[in-house]
Amino acid sequence: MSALVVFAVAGIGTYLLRASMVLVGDRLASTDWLEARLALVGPAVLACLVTAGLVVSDGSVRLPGLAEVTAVVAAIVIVRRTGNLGHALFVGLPLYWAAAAIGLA
Amino acid sequence: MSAATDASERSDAGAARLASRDVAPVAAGLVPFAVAIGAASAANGLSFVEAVLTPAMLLAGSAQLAAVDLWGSGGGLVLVAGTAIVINLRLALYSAGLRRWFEAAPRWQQLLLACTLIDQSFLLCEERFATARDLRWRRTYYVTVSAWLVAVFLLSQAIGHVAGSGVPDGLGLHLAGPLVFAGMLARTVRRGHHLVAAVVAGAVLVATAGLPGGLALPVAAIAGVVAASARSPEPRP
Repeated sequence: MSALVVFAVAGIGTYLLRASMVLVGDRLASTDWLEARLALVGPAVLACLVTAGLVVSDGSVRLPGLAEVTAVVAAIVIVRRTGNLGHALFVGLPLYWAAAAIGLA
Repeated sequence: MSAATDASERSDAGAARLASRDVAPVAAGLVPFAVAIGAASAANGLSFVEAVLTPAMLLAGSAQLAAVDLWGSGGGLVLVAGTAIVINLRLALYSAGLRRWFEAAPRWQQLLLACTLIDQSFLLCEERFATARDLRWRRTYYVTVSAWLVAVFLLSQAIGHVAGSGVPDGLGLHLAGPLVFAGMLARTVRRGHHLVAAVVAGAVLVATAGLPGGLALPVAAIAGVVAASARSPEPRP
């Protein structure tokens, strides 16, 4: 079977997830209850993405390097203070390189 | 990102400008990840055309990476497509957000806008739309953000496919995604129950990392939301 057919099926299934609540339509009334929970999805998913990037590799948990932890903590602190997301990269990556250069990786 | 948009940003052009400014660092963080997926596509035997078309069909990096690996190791339709769909379960949560943002738009428009709903577009819009209520403004902002992200995602994957394994590891580009997500997290956590959702989700992700088929992320995210909801019966958004 062609890779394109397999990925097309995956794409259709993924689109149905993206459109699921639109398709459910009026049966899903917009409520304060739902809105309050949706506001929690962002922090929960972001924490998962950060954690996965730092401590999960191929389905196994690994100890992150000190340079990686330093860079991520610095990114959180600088963005918290400035509100500028670009600083996460412009501060985090050089800090990672510097920390790795002195053997903290 | 400032909480409110100023007068010069209330027009359509202003929405597009603001969206471009907001999405720039996020798109930059997407590049190394997309390049890595492109390289993985090449390593798993996908042709250049397939490597360009598959991300366009899926628009979901983690799911694509898992699916490409499974395809490369001989996985069939059910395993590959099923795994990608399970990993993408969180998109159903985002879908509820999209429906709320564009509630006043016709159903066909909502279905069209859903095509490009991804982590980054959901998170940027969820934050920005808290103070921007106008449908037309929201649509322009969302479409601009999506256009940038899709263009960067596809182009970076094409480059990754061509470059193959020639991308040096020492640059630490694997960290670009987590850094941007960490920055977004710093901006998103504004109240105690946001912190509870984040901490519980992160802890559950570590505990469930071994779950098959990429189930850990949706399980951990839902656990975080449930835990934070339980802490306060009606948490304020």
